[in-house]
Amino acid sequence: MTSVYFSVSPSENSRPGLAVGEVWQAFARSRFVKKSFTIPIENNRPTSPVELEPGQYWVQVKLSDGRILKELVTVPTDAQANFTLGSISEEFVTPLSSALPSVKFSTPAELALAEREELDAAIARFRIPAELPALPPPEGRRKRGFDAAPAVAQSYEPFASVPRSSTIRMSRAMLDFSSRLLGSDTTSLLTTDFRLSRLHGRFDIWSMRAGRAGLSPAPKVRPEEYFNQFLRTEYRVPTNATTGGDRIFIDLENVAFPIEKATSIINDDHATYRDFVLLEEQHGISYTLVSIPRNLREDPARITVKDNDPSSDLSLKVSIEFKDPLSNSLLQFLRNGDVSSAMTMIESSQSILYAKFDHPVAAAAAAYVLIHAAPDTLKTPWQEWIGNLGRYFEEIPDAQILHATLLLQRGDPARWENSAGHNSESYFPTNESGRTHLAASLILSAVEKGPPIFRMGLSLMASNLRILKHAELPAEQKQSLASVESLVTWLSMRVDPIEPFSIFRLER
Amino acid sequence: MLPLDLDMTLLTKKLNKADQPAVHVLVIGVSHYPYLQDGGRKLMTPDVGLGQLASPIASTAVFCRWLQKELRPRGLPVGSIEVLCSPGAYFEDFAGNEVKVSTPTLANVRKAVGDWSKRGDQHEDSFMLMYFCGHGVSSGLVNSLLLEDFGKDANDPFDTGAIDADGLMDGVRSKKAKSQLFLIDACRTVSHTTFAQFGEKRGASIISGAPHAQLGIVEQACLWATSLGSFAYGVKDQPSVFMTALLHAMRGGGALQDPDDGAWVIQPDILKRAIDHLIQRIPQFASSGLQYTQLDGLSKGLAVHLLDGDPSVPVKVQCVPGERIGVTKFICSSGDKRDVGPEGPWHLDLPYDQYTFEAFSDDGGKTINKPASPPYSIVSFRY
Repeated sequence: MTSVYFSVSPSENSRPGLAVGEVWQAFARSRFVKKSFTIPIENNRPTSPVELEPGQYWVQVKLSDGRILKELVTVPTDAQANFTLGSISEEFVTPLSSALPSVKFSTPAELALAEREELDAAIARFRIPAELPALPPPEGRRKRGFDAAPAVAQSYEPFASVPRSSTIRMSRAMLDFSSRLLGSDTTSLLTTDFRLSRLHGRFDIWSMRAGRAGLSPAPKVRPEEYFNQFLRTEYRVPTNATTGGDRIFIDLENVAFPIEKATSIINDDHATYRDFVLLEEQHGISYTLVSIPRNLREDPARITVKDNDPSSDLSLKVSIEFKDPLSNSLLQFLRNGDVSSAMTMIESSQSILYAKFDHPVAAAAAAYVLIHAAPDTLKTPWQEWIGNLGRYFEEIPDAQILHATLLLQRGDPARWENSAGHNSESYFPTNESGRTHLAASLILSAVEKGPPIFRMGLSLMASNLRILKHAELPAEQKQSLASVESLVTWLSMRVDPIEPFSIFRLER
Repeated sequence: MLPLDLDMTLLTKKLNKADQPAVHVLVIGVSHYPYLQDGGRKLMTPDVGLGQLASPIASTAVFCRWLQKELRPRGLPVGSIEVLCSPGAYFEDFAGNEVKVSTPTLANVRKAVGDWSKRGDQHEDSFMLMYFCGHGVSSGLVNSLLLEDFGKDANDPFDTGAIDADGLMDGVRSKKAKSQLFLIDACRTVSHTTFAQFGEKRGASIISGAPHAQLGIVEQACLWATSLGSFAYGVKDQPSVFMTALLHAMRGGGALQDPDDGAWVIQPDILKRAIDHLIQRIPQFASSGLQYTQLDGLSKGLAVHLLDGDPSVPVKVQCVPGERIGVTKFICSSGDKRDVGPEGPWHLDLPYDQYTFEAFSDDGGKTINKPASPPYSIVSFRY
């Protein structure tokens, strides 16, 4: 037997992460063995050895960016052999709509000192005031029964790189400035100017409230008002933006929430697990609304912005990725719709879901993979972990959507018992009626937390709503669900169907 | 001309046992849209800018012939082949008799889908396969497939004449058959305006939802003829670009070898890659980005078709730089050769094996030893 090590040379187009590989005997005419392995894509770091008999083998590796590497190798009669894999084809690779180059994932602290000094000098030149008032919401979008948005800047947790006092309005002059800051070749970096706004707030979707004497609330979600609460804006200069090729990278370092007890999070009216970033084209007719996950520990996320293909409906192409390579690989497989390959990371997905307190948003991504697992194949009580995710991180709508999916579309939670031998009736009622009612409540609760962080959540919402449409439920609840179904269709028509995170195009 | 509303037609003999596992196929081809441009009926308003299609009839007919004569499901009989198609194609049943098939109106599609899914719900080991060829419109995650009576009710064309593709697949997922494959041969141009004009409706889901336990059990995949935002191309009165490449790939480019017995089976992941390569053989499509397929869902365990013997593999022989190709002669150890002259790559199909390729030009000769292996092989002579 020969110990064979496989590696992949990271090209400028590969991101750190995991690739999934298979090796099998070439030109076999009868039974043979396929061996699977994973390869870390990181500086020629090899796999653990695969033990093979000498002979010819096919090796196929699928990268998280969708590329396939396939080669015929001859394993020698040595104790050890090393193979570094190339491409299946020198030229023909199925193009990805927005393959991103790998740029070192920098933090503001890593910006060159010279760039920092230039930034300070530029700020001084433009004499930007310390604070400017936030923009009022656009005319005609005030919601009845709610206060108008205040005209003063909102206080919020600042980005780590930008001091609290430097809330800055991103004017056109600033855009020109920031382009010059990034380099003279970046003035035409994007044909669409954009400004970056940070938004926060709560979703309060029902157009009427209970309390009017003699009337019960008429729940009605008006999709076009769904994001209105979020048009109280503050603007930021992307001072930690870097360039790579034809695109701009904006690193976001989020400040950790202090976690003493989970209940303190739930009771905090302004506790959300994400920010919304609004990209507004200066001369365009639409906004791009990006939902940025905010994690419980400092774990930077990055937004990448570039001009989109001219034939596209969207002027700007926006992507988000985590710094963690494992979570990122999972996202990239999901991004390509490659659920089959994402399933090869099912072991990792369990670990990511289990570590929900470290990274609840990544845990939700892992749960999207796990719900496709065949019944009774995994030893962990992952269904309970999804229930816990929804319980302790109520503000993440994806968790409740996933929980509802378990109730409506899988049979195994009803048979599950936890390690203590108790069926978790509160999570998974044993009768269909109980599961249906709980699922309906979860869906209605989820929609009040905002759109799902991941676009797969919209597909699952739509799928669950189709099932609930014909369920035995109270009339008022059915009315609410019908209203939510319209909202979900409205959101589904506006979401970027490729990026795993929810990115919406909204009309002005 | 009014469409004929006959009972939908099965091209196959009834199974001896209705509840035995089998492959059940539904084929829908929509060329004629009476309420769209040049359709012959009152044009729907507002006009959505769509007209008649040339390829669906031919694509449906050739696919049905392939299903009847060549499909070899793995360990399953062909249980049913049901067809709905615009008039103009020739279909024959299992006895060789010509049949007139039903037209693809929403009512006929509802009945056909209902019967097809009922058959698929008889046994968990059954395989459900559906092919649709016609107009498609998309916005975000919503994909609607337009049927013949789209636009008849101009106030609500989507709910009365279109299928919500994702809703349909969702409903079919609740059925017992664990293997399900959808082939959607339709444009996916993003057309939010089209949806917005008519109340942003998705279309009919066809199958009513109900709680089920099939997520994680059913392996369901959808192979789209083109990626989101792009057109799917057809040829007048000929099968579509996707159908031609699909049937070519079924000869071997789309095959994966089963480790348990060494047999070659067509598997969606590999099929997708072979189809993309074969589409690029067409000069107008080579490296143009015009049409690439997209595969969604779970497909690893789906075995579509069993090959009789070794696969026939698409091979591309080229020179780098490309300008040298016109002055280079190629010889393959298979016995195939190409003389000096043609400007594009040399495309051939070879049985799965190892080959020696030789290139001869004024600079002398070069030799490359390379296997021909699914989904395709590329031999590059570099100068």
